[in-house]
Amino acid sequence: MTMSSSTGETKVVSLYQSQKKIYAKEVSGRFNRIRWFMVFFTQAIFYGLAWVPWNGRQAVLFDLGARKFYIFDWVFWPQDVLYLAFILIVSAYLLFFVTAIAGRIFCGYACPQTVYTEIFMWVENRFEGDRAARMRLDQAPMSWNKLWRKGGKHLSWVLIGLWTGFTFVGYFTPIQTLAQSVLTLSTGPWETFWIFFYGFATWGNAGFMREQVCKYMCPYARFQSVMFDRDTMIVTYDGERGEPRGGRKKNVDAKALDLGSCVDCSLCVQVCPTGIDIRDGLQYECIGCSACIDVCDTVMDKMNYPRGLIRYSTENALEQHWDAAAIRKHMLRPRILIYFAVLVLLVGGLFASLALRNPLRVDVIRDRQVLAREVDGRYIENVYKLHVMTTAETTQRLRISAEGMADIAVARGGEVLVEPASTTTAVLAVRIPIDTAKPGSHPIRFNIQSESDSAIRVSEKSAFLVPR
Amino acid sequence: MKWDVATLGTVFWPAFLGAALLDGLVFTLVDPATIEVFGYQNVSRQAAYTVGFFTFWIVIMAASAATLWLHRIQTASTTGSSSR
Repeated sequence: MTMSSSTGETKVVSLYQSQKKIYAKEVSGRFNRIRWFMVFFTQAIFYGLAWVPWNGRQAVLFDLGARKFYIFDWVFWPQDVLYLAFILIVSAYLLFFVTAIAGRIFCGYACPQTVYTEIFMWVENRFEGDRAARMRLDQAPMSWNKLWRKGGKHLSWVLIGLWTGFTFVGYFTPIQTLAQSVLTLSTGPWETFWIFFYGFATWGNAGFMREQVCKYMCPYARFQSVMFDRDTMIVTYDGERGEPRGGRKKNVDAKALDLGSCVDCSLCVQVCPTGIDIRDGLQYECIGCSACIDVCDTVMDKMNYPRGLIRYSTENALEQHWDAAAIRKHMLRPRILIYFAVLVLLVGGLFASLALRNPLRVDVIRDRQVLAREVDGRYIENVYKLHVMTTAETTQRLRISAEGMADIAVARGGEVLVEPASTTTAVLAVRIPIDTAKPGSHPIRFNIQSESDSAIRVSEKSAFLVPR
Repeated sequence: MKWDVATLGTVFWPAFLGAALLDGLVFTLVDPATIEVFGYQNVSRQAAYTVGFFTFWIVIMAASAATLWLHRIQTASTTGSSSR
């Protein structure tokens, strides 16, 4: 951005402040416990789910090498991409719905950026100590003490990063085989690359980028504001109660000193992972992690003041002094009900469509190389290519019959064997007795039926060509 | 203009998401095992996905960076002339 100074010179001013490293103080309290619960919950799923077996294979596997996606009982082919697009839409919608009610609760508790930053900061605190000790250590010249603390931290970070990268790749290539090849140092070049790439990204994002990802890079952080309204839950500072702020001794009468409840200890700023002062009001940098709520509550406890000077509330509630019941009542506003209705429809539609999905898919292509031909002087024969695809997880023996013309019969290839969740092609020859149909193209229909499961069947249209 | 972490981040990240989406879309429609690259037929799927992803990422980043750069020059020249 260019600005003119008073001297008439033009000088360039960066749109962004120069980056100051943020030393967030460790915090404890009920919201912090919820966040740590979410860290364990989400990471137990991420690190654990890759190892869960299902139907003799990995339960959740996006097998890129085989171009097949497995999600528990479901098998998806590339042709099913619409389902995955649909799942993404549902996830996005769920995020909108939650955001409209509870603000950036996803950012503060479940976003991988937050979760890994939380884990990495925990490691950092173990090696380098609390906020003040970390600041001193960064100022200090290099020493053995600094070397082992920094070195130990980075070693731990790198190990967590690599494990994360390994797990990530384990969702795209079977993790059991991947683990074996990692142990024998024989991973393929692309797997090796992705393990290191994802590990490096984890290390960089959670170790260094941290809040900058949320502040400058994340599109969601910016566009979520359109889902906010005055009844959305946000982290708020009760200025009316807190101001005028100021230090005071414990047990003095704040009213006599003409002071509000805020003791101006600045702890809320010190714990903030994005380095803002929540007392300045709602800011786009606030990720709703409520570390400031936890720390302020401990201060309020010490001062024997009621908790909640900083609390989850809504803009309306703060202005109109609503209690929790009133906030809950305003939660069910038209916007939320509409979001909810659409969400239910989408999820219902998705599951209905998945439940009704035919496990068998057949494409019949008339072989254009071989035109209709006469066989044994008694029949007219047409040849077709069958492309069969199944998502059933047992081997299927399929019987194919034709209908639509008098005495039409399958001469060859009337039986096809398909391996579980696989594709196969087969050549099919169909005959009619000579002189029973006029020359030209006749519509026919193929019925493909599984021998073992009567529900697995499909009917395909095609055409039979009779030559002149 | 200054290409600091924050500015580069705005170029990197949305381009990353775009590249991931495009990679998924393109290779859902096209099976790399069935294509021929300069007459070379045994294209490994993993290789195609990876090279494809980085190609998309680089191209989208380059386009975003160019847009950002042109936009800044434009903004700088208009605000510069109007304030003089």
